[in-house]
Amino acid sequence: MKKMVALVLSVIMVLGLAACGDGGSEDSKSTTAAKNDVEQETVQSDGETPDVIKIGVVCAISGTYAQEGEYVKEAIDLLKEELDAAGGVEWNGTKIPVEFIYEDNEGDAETSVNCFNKLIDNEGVMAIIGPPMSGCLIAAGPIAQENQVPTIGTMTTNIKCTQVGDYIFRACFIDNFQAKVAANWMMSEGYTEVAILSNNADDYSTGMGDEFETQFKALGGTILDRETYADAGGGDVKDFSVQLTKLKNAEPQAIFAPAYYMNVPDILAQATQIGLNVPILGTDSWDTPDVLSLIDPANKSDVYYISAYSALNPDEKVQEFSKKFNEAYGKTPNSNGTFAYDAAALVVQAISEAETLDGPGLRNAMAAIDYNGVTGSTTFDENRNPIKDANILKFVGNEVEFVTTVKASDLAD
Amino acid sequence: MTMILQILVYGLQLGSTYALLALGYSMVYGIVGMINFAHGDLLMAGAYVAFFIFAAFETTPSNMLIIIGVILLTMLIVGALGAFIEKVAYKPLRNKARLSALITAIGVSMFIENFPRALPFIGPNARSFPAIIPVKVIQVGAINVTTIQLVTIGAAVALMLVLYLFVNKTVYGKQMRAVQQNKDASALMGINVNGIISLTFFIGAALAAVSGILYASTYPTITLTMGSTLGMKAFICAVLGGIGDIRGAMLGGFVLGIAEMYANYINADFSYGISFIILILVLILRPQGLVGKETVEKV
Amino acid sequence: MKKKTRKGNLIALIVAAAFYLIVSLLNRAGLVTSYYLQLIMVSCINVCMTVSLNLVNGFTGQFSVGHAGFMAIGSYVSGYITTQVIPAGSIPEAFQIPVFLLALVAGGLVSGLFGALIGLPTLRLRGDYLAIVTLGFGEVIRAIIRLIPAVGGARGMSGIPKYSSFFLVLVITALIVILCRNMVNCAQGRACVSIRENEIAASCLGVNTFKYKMTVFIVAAVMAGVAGGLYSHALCYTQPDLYSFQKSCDYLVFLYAGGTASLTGSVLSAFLLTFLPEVLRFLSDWRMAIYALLLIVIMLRLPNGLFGGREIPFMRRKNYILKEEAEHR
Repeated sequence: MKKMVALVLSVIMVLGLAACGDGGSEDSKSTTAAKNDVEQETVQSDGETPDVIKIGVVCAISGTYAQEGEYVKEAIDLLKEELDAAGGVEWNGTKIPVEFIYEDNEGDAETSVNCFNKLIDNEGVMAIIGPPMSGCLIAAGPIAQENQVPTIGTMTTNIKCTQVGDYIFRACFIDNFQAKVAANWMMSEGYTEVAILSNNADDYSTGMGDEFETQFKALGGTILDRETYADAGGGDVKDFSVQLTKLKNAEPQAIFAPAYYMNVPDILAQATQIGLNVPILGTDSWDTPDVLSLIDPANKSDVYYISAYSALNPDEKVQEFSKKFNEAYGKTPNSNGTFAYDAAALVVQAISEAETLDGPGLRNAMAAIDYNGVTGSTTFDENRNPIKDANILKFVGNEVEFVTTVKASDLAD
Repeated sequence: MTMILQILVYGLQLGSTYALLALGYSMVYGIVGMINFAHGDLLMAGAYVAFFIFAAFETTPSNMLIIIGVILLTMLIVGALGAFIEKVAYKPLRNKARLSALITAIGVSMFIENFPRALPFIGPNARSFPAIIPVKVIQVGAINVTTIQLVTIGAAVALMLVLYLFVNKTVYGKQMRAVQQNKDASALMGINVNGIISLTFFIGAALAAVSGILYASTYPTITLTMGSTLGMKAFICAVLGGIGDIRGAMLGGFVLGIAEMYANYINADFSYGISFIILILVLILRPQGLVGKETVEKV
Repeated sequence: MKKKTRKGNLIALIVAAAFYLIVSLLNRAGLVTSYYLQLIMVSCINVCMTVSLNLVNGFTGQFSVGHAGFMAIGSYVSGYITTQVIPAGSIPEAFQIPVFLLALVAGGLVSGLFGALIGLPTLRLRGDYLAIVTLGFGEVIRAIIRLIPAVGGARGMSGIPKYSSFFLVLVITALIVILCRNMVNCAQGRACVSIRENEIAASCLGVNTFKYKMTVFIVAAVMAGVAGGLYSHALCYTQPDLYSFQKSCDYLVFLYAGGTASLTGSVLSAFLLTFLPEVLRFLSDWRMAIYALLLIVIMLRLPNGLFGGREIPFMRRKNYILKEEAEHR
C-alpha cells in the first residue's frame, strides 16, 4: 500500500516537475511577450498617450550614503515642481504628468538589483535615474538592459558602467578623463616631478593612477615614486605613515592621490605629522560634504581636488541653479544633487523628443540628445558617455575655494 | 637603515594600541574563558565618548589637566559600559554552553556598532577627532619622532606597568588571579566572584577606551565600525602572546604592530593579510602562544 | 527505519514541487512578479547557506563565523568559469545548463578545498579558535579577491549569465536540504551531536572527533560554495563586498533565530528574514540594531531559537533524540 502511495506520488511529482520545467521557459517568454503587449497597448496603439509617465529614481535614502541620497531627492523634487507647474512633459502635442518613484538602494549593489526589478516589474517605469555609484549601476544595469528601460547613472564615473549595454547612459565624465585633467593641470602649474599614492584594492584608484602616469609622462613629466596601499573596505586602512615617509623621501613637487574620501582625512593628517608639505591633488570622490568637516583645517594647506561640478563655478547656469536650490532648501547643492537634476531633466527632454513612447524610442531620443543643463551641454558619444568640463577646487580652512575650470575641449588630443 | 628605525617607531606606536586592546581580551578570557567579541567596539565607544565630551567644550581645551580629566571620565564611562554589558548579556550565560556566550558577544558587537547609527545625534557619518595632542616633530638622530608617538607609546607602557603592579601586588589583583584559577574555590574563600569579574570587565573596557583615544589622536577619522578590524587584530595579538596572560598580550601587541609596519614597507598588499597569516602559523606551531603554558584539558 | 528516511525525502521533494507549482502559477497569473521571484530565489540560496551553517554550528557545536567567505569562493569560481572559461555566447543553449552545473560543482569543490585548509589546523583545537580563524578567513578572502584583476578586483565581476532559474535554484536547494537531513539522521549525525554535547566523552567512546568535524566542515563549505554559485548567477554580478562579515552575521542570525539543530527552523527563518528587511525598508537604520537585539534576546531567553532541535514530522526520524538533547542543554 505504502509503496503504491509512494509510486503514485512520485509519478505525480515527476510529471509536475516536467510540466513546470517546460512551463518555466514558456513563462518567461510569455511574460516578456505580455510586457511588450502591455507597453504597446498603453502607449502606442490608437495613438493613445499614457495618463502618467513614471520615472524611477534609485539612490540611498538610508544607510551610510543617506546624506548623498537626500540631495538627489531634493534636486529631483525641484524638477518635479517645475514640471508640475508646466503641466507635465509635452509629447505629441499633449501634456503628460511625470511621476518620480524613489527606491532606496542603501548604496548597496544587491539591493540595487532588487530596486531595479521592483521599479521595472511592479511600477512599470519608463526610465531610471541613478544609482549614483558605479558598483551599483554595474550590478543592476543588465536588468534595465534586458527589459529595455533606458537608465542614466548620475555620478557613475567607472568606464564599465555604460559597457553594460546600449540602454545605459551616464551624466558625468569618466575616470580616465579625470586622470587627464589631473596631468594637464599639474603641468600647467609647473609641477614636472610628481608622485602618486593609490589604492591597490580599488580599481577606481588604480585605474586613475595608471592613466595619470601615462598622460603625465606623455606631457614630458617625471613620476618620481608611486606608493600603494590596500584598503579593502572604504576606510579600513588608517595608517599611511610608511607610504607617506617614502613619498617624502622621493621629494616630489606635488602628489596625485586618487583616494577614496574616507581615507583622505587620515592621509592628510599623517602627511602633516610627517612633515610632507607639498601640494596634493585628489579626485572627484573627495567631493562630498563629509570630507570638508572631517579634515582638521591645520591639515588643509595646499590641498586640491577635481570635481565634476562646483556651486562656486561663476558660470551663469550654475549660479542660477544654486540660487534656486538654496531658496528651496536653504543649502548649496552638491555634485550628487546637481547631476541627478541634470540627468532627470535630460530624460524629460528626451521623452518630449521621442518618436515612440517606449524603451527603444526613448533610448534613441537620449542617444541623439543635445541637452543644455546646469553641468554644461550634454551630447553622448557612441559609448553613451557625455563630454563635460572639470573643475579644480581647493580646501581653504572650512571652505572650498574655486580654482579653475579645465575645459574638455582644451584637452582633446 | 634610517627607514628601518623610523618604521620601528611607527610599529611601536601601532603596537601600543594593539597591546592595550589585547590586554582586555586576555584578562576577560583568563577570568571567564570567553572571547569578548564586543571588546573592539569598546575602543570605538571610548573614541566617541571622548569626542562628545570634547564637543561639549566650546573649543578643544589646551589645558593638559582638563584633557587628562576628560580621559579619566571617558575611562570611567566606558569601563562602566563594559561591566554593564557583562552583567546583562554574559552573566546569565556563564554556566551555559560556551557558544551561547560567543554568539551573544557577536550580537552585542553588532548592537554597539549599529544602535548609535540609528540615533539622530550620532548617525552613520564619520567624525573628526579633535587634535588634543599638539603635533611637534622631534629629531632623534636621523629619525623623526612626533609628540603623538611619544605620548601614545609612553601612556601605553605606563598603563601596562600600573596594571601589572595592580594584578601582582594588590589584594584585588590577588583575588583576580584566584578567580582565574578556580571560581568555586575562590567563592568558598570569601571572594566576591561576581564583583571581581565585573572589575575585570571594567578594567579591560577602560584600557580599550584609552587605546581608542590614543588611536583617534593619530588617525582622526572615527567611525562606528572602527573597532571591528582593530578588535580582530588585538585578539590575534592576545592569541599570539598566549591568551589569558597579561605579559603575553603586551608582547603580542608590539610584535604584531611592528610586523604589520614592516610588511607595509615590503609590500602594502601583503600587510592586510599578515596578521591572519601570523595567527594561523601560531595556531599550528604554538597554540599556547609565545609565553603561554601548555594546558591539558580537564574532563 | 530505511523506509522512513525515504518517505521523508519524498515528502520533502513533494513540498518543494508543490511550492514550485504554486509560485509559477502565481507568476503566470501575474501576482508574483520577477521582483518577488528574485527574492524567492535569494531566499532559497539563503536556505542553502543557513542549513549548511547549521551542520557546523547547530549539529556539531563548532563555531564558524565566516561562512560568507565560502560563498564568495563558490560564486567567483563558478562565475569565472561561465564568463571566462566557457562564456555563454560560445556554446549552444542546450549546453548552458550542464556548463552551469559543472561550474557549480567546481565552485563547491574549490570552496570545500579551502574548508579543508582552514579545518586542518584549527579543528584540532577548541571551538573558540575556529571562530576567529573563520572570521579572519572571511576577511582575507575578500581582500585577496580584490587584488585579482582577472575577476574584476574590487569592482567585481559583471556580465555573469543569468543561469540561475527559479526551477534550478529550488531543485538544488531541495537537494541540499535533503542531503543535510539524511546526514544528520545517520551515524555521522549522531557522532556530530555527541561531539557537540561533550567532545571529550565522545572521543573516549571511540568517536574520531577530528574526522567527523572535518567531514561536516568540508561538506558545509561545499554547500556554501554551490549556494554562492547560484547567487552570482541569480544576481548576474558578484563583488567582494557582497560577502562581508555582515553577510556571515546575517546567516548566524538566520540560524540562531530559526533554531540550532533544526533544519525546519533554518528553512523558515531564511525565508522569513529575507523578506522581512524588504518589507521593513523604512526601518533601515534601525534594522541592524534590531537584528542585534533580537540575537541577544534569543540567546538569553530562547537559547535554542524558535525551533531549537525540533523538526516538522517528515524532516526527522521517529524516536530521534535531538529534541530531548536540545531541551536538556
